[in-house]
Amino acid sequence: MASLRDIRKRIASVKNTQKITKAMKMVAAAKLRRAEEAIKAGRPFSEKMREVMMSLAARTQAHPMLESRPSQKALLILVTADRGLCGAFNTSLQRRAEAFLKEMKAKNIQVDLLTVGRKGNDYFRRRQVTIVEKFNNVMNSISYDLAGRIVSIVAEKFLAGEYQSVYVVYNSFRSAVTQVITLRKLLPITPDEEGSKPRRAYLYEPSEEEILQELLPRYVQVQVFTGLLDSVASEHGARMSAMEAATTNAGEMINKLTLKLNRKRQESITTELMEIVGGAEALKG
Amino acid sequence: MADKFKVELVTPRGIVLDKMVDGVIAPGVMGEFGVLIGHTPMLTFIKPGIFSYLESDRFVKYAVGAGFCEVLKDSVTVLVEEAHSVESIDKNEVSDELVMLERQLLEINALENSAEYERMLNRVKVVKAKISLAGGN
Repeated sequence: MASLRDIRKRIASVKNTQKITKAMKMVAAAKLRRAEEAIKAGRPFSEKMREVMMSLAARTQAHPMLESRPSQKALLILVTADRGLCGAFNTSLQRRAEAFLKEMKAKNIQVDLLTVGRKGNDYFRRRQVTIVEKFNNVMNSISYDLAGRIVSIVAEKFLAGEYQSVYVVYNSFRSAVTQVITLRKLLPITPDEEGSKPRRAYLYEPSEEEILQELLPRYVQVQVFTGLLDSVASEHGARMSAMEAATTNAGEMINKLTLKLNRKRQESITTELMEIVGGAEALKG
Repeated sequence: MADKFKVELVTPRGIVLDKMVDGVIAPGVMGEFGVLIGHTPMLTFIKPGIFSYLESDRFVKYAVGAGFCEVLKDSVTVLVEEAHSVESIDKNEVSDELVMLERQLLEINALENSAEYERMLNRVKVVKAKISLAGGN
């Protein structure tokens, strides 16, 4: 049986936890706002890039980045968070990645990983997967440059024929409360039909081929960059809702404990009264 | 001055400039080039350097990173990795940055890691452009 003091202690500790979760929620909300702004700010750049890319690639013949490789290996870029306490954010990503590994294994393709964010690395480190490169503790300071570093590693391996294709999996940002896990093929680049517009007659300086040569890696870089931005915003969104739920749960728990405490106190007062009354009766008689 | 046209300077961090201007001078890979209204549509690369636009007989300058530029008859869109206006540059800060970057550049083996080397070199060039902007306008 918990004594009155135990219950009081318990309430105090839950209250402290609630304070922390509340603060974390507020921090996540502020960071989410900033991340959303970053997404918005990056959009014109990626859209323009896409537009130019598609008009170029629609008519292009051959480029090493547009072709699949004869290899039995694929690479998956796994973008997770660096920290936990954000609900199912990381676990659902890991599950998706596992499913993907299995799927590819059925096709007799071995998948290596490149992890961005500490959690993905932590999870797969102890499993039977090769992690070719890891980027830990970067989610606080993602930049276009970081995307460039990732892409140059990936592109180099892909062009060397080590991997037949490169995929990326991340949480894409829909709204503060919904994140959608997205698995996308990064390389080889497949120009989607609907995106290709009738090309404009340009003067190319230098040649068209050279432009494409330079543009393709940049296009991939932009894709990775938007993926990273999305992931960061999703992480903060997920953490915000997780902490919101935790705060509510803590509140409920406090209510329940308070009720229990009051019952208990009343009970003990009643027993004391009964004892006094009983004692007085006994003296009378 | 002739008619104005629209110029956009876009980076992954957002739109830096969106304005009607009289003319533009940009650092292309094949050398600097100027654009006035009615230019032939063109697609070219931008190397790190100084980008400027002309507005009422005055040039306004930006230090820009690598990227590319799409010229149409009535608009110019410049997509670059970074862009800094004169006001946003702190002279002391950039010279420190240059020292740091050059040190990092020396540590990279240019033969083994050419992509990395290239990127660092670009960053150094941007910082140099920033310094020249901050130095004398």
